[in-house]
Order: sequence, then structure tokens, then C-alpha cells
Amino acid sequence: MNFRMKRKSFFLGILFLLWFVPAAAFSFSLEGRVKETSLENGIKVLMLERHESPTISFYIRFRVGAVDENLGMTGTAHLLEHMLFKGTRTLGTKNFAEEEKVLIRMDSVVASLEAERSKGEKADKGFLRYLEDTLQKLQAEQKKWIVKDEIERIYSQNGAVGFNAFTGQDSTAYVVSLPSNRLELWARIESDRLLNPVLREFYSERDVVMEERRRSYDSKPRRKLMENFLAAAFMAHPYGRPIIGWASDIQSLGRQATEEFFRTFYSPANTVLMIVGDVNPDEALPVIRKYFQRIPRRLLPPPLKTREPEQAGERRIRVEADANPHLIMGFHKPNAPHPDDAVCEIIEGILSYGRTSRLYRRLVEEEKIAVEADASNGFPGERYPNLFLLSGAPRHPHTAEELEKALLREVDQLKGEPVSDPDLQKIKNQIQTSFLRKLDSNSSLAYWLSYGQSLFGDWRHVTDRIKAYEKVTEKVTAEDVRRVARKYFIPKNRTVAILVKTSESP
Amino acid sequence: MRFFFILFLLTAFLPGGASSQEDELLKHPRDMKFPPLSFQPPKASRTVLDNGMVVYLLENPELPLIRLSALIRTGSIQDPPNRSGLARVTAAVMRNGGAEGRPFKEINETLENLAAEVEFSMGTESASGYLFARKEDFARVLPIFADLLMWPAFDSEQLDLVKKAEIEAIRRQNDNPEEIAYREFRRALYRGNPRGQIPTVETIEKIQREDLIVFHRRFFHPTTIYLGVSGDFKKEEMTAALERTFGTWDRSFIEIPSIAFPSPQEEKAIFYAPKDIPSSTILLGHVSLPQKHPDYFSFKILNFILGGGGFNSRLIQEIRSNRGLAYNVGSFYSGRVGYGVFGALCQTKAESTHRVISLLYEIIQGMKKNPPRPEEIDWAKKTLINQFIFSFSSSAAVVGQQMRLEYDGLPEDYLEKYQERVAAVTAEDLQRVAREHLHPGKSVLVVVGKEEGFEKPLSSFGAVNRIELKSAP
Repeated sequence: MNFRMKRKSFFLGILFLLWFVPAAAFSFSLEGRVKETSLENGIKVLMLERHESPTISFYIRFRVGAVDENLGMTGTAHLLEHMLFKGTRTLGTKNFAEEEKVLIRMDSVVASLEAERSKGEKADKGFLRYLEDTLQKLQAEQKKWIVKDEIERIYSQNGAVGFNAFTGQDSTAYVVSLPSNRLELWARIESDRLLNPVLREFYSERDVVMEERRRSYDSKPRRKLMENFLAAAFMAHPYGRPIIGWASDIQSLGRQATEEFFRTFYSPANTVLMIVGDVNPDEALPVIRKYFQRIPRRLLPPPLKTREPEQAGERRIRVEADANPHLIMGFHKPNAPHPDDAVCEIIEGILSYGRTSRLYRRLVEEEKIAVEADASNGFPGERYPNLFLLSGAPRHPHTAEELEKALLREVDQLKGEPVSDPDLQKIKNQIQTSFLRKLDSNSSLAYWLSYGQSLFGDWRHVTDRIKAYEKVTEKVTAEDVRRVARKYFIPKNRTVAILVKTSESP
Repeated sequence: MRFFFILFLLTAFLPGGASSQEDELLKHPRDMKFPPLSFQPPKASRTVLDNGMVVYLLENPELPLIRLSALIRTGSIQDPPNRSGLARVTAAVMRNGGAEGRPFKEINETLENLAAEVEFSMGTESASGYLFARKEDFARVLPIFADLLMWPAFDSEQLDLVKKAEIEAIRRQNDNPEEIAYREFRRALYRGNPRGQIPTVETIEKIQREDLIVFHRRFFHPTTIYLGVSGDFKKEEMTAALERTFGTWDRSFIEIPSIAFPSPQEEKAIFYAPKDIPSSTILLGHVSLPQKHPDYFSFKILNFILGGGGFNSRLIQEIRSNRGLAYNVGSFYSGRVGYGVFGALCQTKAESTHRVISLLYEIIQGMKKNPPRPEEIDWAKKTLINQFIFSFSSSAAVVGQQMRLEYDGLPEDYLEKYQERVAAVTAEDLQRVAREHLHPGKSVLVVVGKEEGFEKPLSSFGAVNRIELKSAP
């Protein structure tokens, strides 16, 4: 059981892995240990030496995610992440010049096919069949030129572990750990993926993502509940859309548009290279320059202008599934670096860190109405104003509605009774240690430092937050907690989603 | 028109002719040379406390932290038949119910104020304990861990709470298809063996405080526990601290009842659990070789090539990459003491369930007909050999491995010989092992999903045992 480690958002990735950040802590400064460089094209390079074993963890994080997609194109960021595993002009092919001819013909056949299909009932069945046959023939022809999954093969033969990628609302990361003498191999492959990607086998990979959607969203009751909850909580902002995309969008995503998305957002100005482990920065930097500074600068598109309008009243939805009840409740609130975000982080701690937290002690231990009760600040992303979540599973015969009342009672209590000093001190210790324990393995360090750099423009975000929280907690009076609770945790600003058993819905 | 538009985009996207520097940078990775890597893996030192407790210690001053883990010779295989779930409940109440002279509320307050962690958990074939603390807090946290381990109070209120949580988990056990599939797979694979026992509301309700006390007394003794400590400490001081803390616990000679190993299936068995969901979960497998078997490394490599080795393994290549029929597909092999388990898993839409099951059977069968090719063997061996270095990426992992080796009775030089033994596997070994030890025709097949949506009925694979997923009232 680990109450403290929380991930800010959930990610979708190329591989199905039970992925977690290992627990541990330390209290020493990274200041002076992280070597920062900017390449001429704007790519940010961060290196941190740790010589515990001759291995290195690499993270390439792009400040682009599902939140950057246009309506009708949901799922593009995630599908693109899958496609970047398919190779380049030199990796994954026997002869790209020949393969390219087939690729071009395939795209025009697919365009015609989709145009014809969009006619629905009026589509010419014979023409459709002809196009489908042609596509199949082209796919077979392309196979002759393809070297299947070559990048993964090269990496694994060289001893790579954790070769993977993750797409979130805010950012996308490409990760791998290698024996430390293979740094140049990484630079060779990754710079090539950014310069010369070839989105081959696009349509079968789109089917793979549809399968991912079926298993991860449509067949899992809690994910289904979360998807519906977010769609209800956000009516304008793209945080309301699923990272994986709506099924109908995924099925019509095209190769050209996906490439266009790549060109638009995978710009050096959006790129952080994070290297943690047995690395000598002085030797590594020339190698990194040699490979990565070839990537041309590109202008970034203007930032998203949509803001979620102020909520006009409580929203409440029910989601039916063949499963036992569950509840999610959310309140809109500002994102970091707004000071109220830090207060929400403290509130998350008061409510849900450990066995002495209010939700566990009262709802699980004393009243026994819940088997789980949780609070989480900053969902589903941190680049834009987000939500404070309360969630839980009632224990039979107690209902989701009873749990909701109990959760609201705890929230209301924050508005009245002041939080005691020892309680604040305890949360302070826990937040400090929980941030510190994110920093004790190469891959976890690479995750968090690149996260801070990419989202907040400074890798110190994670460590600085510790200091910020110390300051906040020292300053936070019961009044701060009360003010924030009174401001955001109000019925008008609330969205509630309840999972109900199919047979029990009225 | 459309055609030209597409062409334009492509040329705009892909850079033109490569310069000579570009050629150098695009050298194929197979032609790249890397400097040699030399590494002496750290080794934990083994000592035995006066009361017989085995301890592994590894100093690592990088961070001011200490981690301790314990491995205890018990497990849910020791559940009495009419008290299925007792072992798990015991571990949970050991932690939650406090210790003699240490009320649980006080323990929780102390640990959480120090941001330290103490946990116990029960596995199938072992129990484990975990302690995490900052160096300066270790002296306060160790006695808490030790008292919970040696003298748990088994508070009845907390027992009641844990039982209620277990019962609610049983109510919810049919919510998720994967959980259903793994549970029914286990039940079928280990029928007639304690490993196949699944707790029910009835067996949980029967559990009394006295049962926990008896279970703890039977299995928790200095001679059944292995400790591993890593982090910022001095060995002599740590040994002394452990002697002081556990010294009051007398050596006792107890015998842990040996549990029979599961026996291989005689024939194919098919199970179907109906659930109204768009994605089917398919699990297929059988009892397999133990870790000490001479063919262990060959079977490990065989499984790697079949479906354990990522995108380039046969199952993933064919079912996911070539056909787009699944996101989650692959195979697993775990060699344990006395037995092993091998299986393949796939999740696919209802409409392709039958096709995927056929492919799973075919591809597994194909390992016998088309034994691994030289390039597959080369790839698998290189990967396992080159990845081995990651086994030593943290001190806690090094300590954990050495403890596990002794717990499982594996030779001390297992790690030193690992790469050598992978390298020694030949194409002939793999061919023979595929023939002798892969049994798709004698496998358990579990399918969770909506059969009305399948292209063909499951009965085309043989007689189907239907599992009714009763939903609790």
C-alpha cells in the first residue's frame, strides 16, 4: 500500500506495462549537478551524472499531447507516438526509394476509399471492393520492403530495457535505458526518428489503437466512468477529451494529417533531452550536438485560446456498466504556479495521505462506508486550469450517494474547522518525502526533471516545489485552507459521476 | 488533384539528398562500434544472527536512506482449506492491528510523521515485509517493524475491517475482465492444489482472531525469515542493531509443511465466462518447468522468441504488428520452485476472438514445426545477455536478488553463471525443448467476453465449461 505516490495524470503508451515510479527519498540538492545546455536549434539538453551502475536512462519529452489536438482529430498525439516506432528512411526498410512509391499510392487509395465510404448508403459497392482489394495488394507489396520493428530489435540486442513511450494530455515522452557505452546508438536512432520518420504500417497500427481503446476504456468500468466524467466536467476545453481519442475519430485519422501534427508540434523549441546515469557530460555533449543539431528550427503554432467558462451549476451523470458502484467528483481550480494550486496540494494531503488521513480514518476505518476514498489535485493535466478530484468505492450495502455525502461533509469541514498545526507539519513532511522519493532511480529522475522542464520551463520545478511547499505550509494558516475550500469546493463548481450496475439503473 | 497534393506534402516533409556527413550519421547501427564496458557488480554480505535469522547487507552511502526487506517462508498456499484467504488477512492485520504495547494509531502517527514506511504483504509462496526510512529515523522505525513482525497484536476491530474489505473485493471480483481471466486460469491450472484455492465470502467470514494467532505462530520464526538491508549504514553497526532488535526472539526449530506441486494437465480444458464487453480477454497456458530444471534457460529463450521478447517475438509480430488484431498480446514463463507456469495472453475485439485463439494455438504449435531460426536465437541471446547489467541498477535490487536465490534454493553462483548459461543454449536445445515442453493441445484456455459477438462459437475448439459470473445481490 502506498498512499503518497500519485501520478498527476494517466498516460497511454505504445506498450502495455504496469508502470510505476519506485518509492524512495533523499534530501540533497540537485543544484549544480544537472548540466544544462541549449542547442542552436532550441533543443534543451539536461544531463545528470549517477554512477551507481554502468547504465543510462534517456527521456525525450515533447511539450505536446492530446490537449493540442483539434476537434475531429482526437487521438492524433497518441497514434503518432505509436507511429514513431515504425522506423525511418534508413531503419525499418530494405529500400526506401521503392517503399516510398508504394506508400504514396496507398495514401491516394485510402483517400478515395474514405471519400467513397463517407457517402454511406449511396457508396458504390463495386468501387469500394476494388479500392479495398487494391489497398490490400499495396500493403502486401509494401511488406516486401519492410524490416519489421527494426528499431526495437536493435535496441533490445544492445541490452535496452524499458523502450517505450507515453502520451499524456500535456506532453509525450520517448524513453529507453541502455548500457552506458551505447549513448551514440541512442543519439543515432532518436535523431533519425525526429528527422526522417516514416509512418509505415499506419492503418494496421490504427487498428491496434482501436484495440487499445476497447480494452483500456470500453471494457474497464472505471476508465469508462473517468472518460465520461471528464467529458461532463469540461464543456469547452480539450481536457474533456480522452487521450486515446473518440472511437470515430481514431477510425478516420489519416497518415498525412498525423505527419502534419508531427511537423507542427515536434519542434526543437518543444523538445527536452534528459540523460540520467553513467554519463560524462563533456564527452556526451559533442555526440548529442552532432546528431541533434541537424534538426531544423520550426515555429510553434499560437497557444490554445479556449478557456473553460465558469461552471454555471452542478453537473451530474450516471454511467452504466456490469460493475459495482464507484464515484468521481471534481471541482475546477487554477493550475500551478497559481498559489491556490499549492494549497490544493496541501488539502490533498490532509484528505488522503496515508492511514492517518481524514478520508481513510473516517470513511474507511471508522464509518466503514467505503473501501477506498481518495483525493487528487491537478487532473487531468497541469498546463491549463484543472480539477481537484474526490473519488471512492462504497462498501456494500452503502451506496455511492452515501459516499458522496460523506466526502462532501469532509470538504465542508475544511471550510469551517481549522486544520491543526501538527497536521500541517505532518503533511509537510510527507509532501517533501514524496517529492524526494521520486528522485532515486535514473528513470524516475529522468521522468520528473524532464516533466518540470517541459511543462514549467525549469527542471527545478519538482525540487523547487518542495521549497515552495515548505514556504506554503509554514505560511498556510487554517485560513488559507478555508479560503480555498470555500472558493472552489462549492456545488456550482462541481461535477459528479456515478458508476451504476446496468441492471440497477432506473 | 489529390494525388499532387499528397506528393507535395511528402517532398516538403522529407529532406532532400544526403550529404556525406549525413551518410556518416546515418551509418546503420549494426555497423556502429561501442567502447567496452567493465563492471564489477556489487555483492551483499551474508551473516546469520544468533537466533538463526539470515541477513544480507549492502552499504550504499549515495543517499541518506535505509531500506529493509524481509522474505518469510509461508504464503497463501498454507491457507487451511476451509479458511482460504487467512494468510492474506494475517499479513494485513499484522500491519494494521498494531503490536504488543504499540497501539496501531500510535504506529501510524509515528510513521507518517517521519514519512517512513512499514508494510507486510502475502504472496502465494512467500510473505514479505518492507521498511523504508531516512537514515536518521531508522533507529525509531526498526523497532516498529520488528515488533509488528514478532509480536503483532491482531486488534479485533482491525481484523473486522480487513475482513470487510476482503469481502467487498470478492463482491467486486467480476468487475474487470483481466481479473476474471487470471483468477479462472489459476483455478483451472491448479485444480486440486492449494494454489488454485480462491477465497469466498464464506471462507473469509469464518476467519477468527485465533486463526491469525495460530497462523503467525506456525510460520513466523527467526529461522523462516531472510532480511536484506541496503543504504547508508555501516555493516557492523547494522548487524549490532539487528541483533539487539531481534535478539529477544528465540531460535525455534519448526517445520514448514511442504505443499505438493501442481501437476501438468492431461488434456485440453476450455472455460468461458460471459461478460458484456467489446473486448475479449483470452488466456491460454499450462504448468511448466521449474527454475532448477536443466532446460530452464532453453525454455526461457523459447518463450522470449515466442511472445516474451517484445515486438519482435512471434505472437506480437503476427497478431499485433502484422494484423492489427490486438494491443495487448504476448506470452509469459515463470520458473518457480518445483514447477513453473507458461501462458499466452491476448485481448481482441469480440468479432476476432475466434481468429485470435486459432492464431495463438497455431503460433505456439508452430514453435515445434518451425523451431527458432538462427537470427531469432541470436537476437534473444544478445538481448538477455546485454540486459543483464540492469539487474544491478540499485542496491536494493542486488540485496533482493541474493535473498531470493537462497530462499528458492538456487546455487550461489547463479548470477555469475547467468550470461554463460544463456550463451550455451543451442538451436538443437530449443528444438527439443519446444517439442517436449510446449503443450498447446493440453492447455487450459480461458475466455472472458461476449460470445454472441464472436465470429464462431468457442465449442469449435472443444467442449466448453461455462463459468457463471454471479453478481452479488
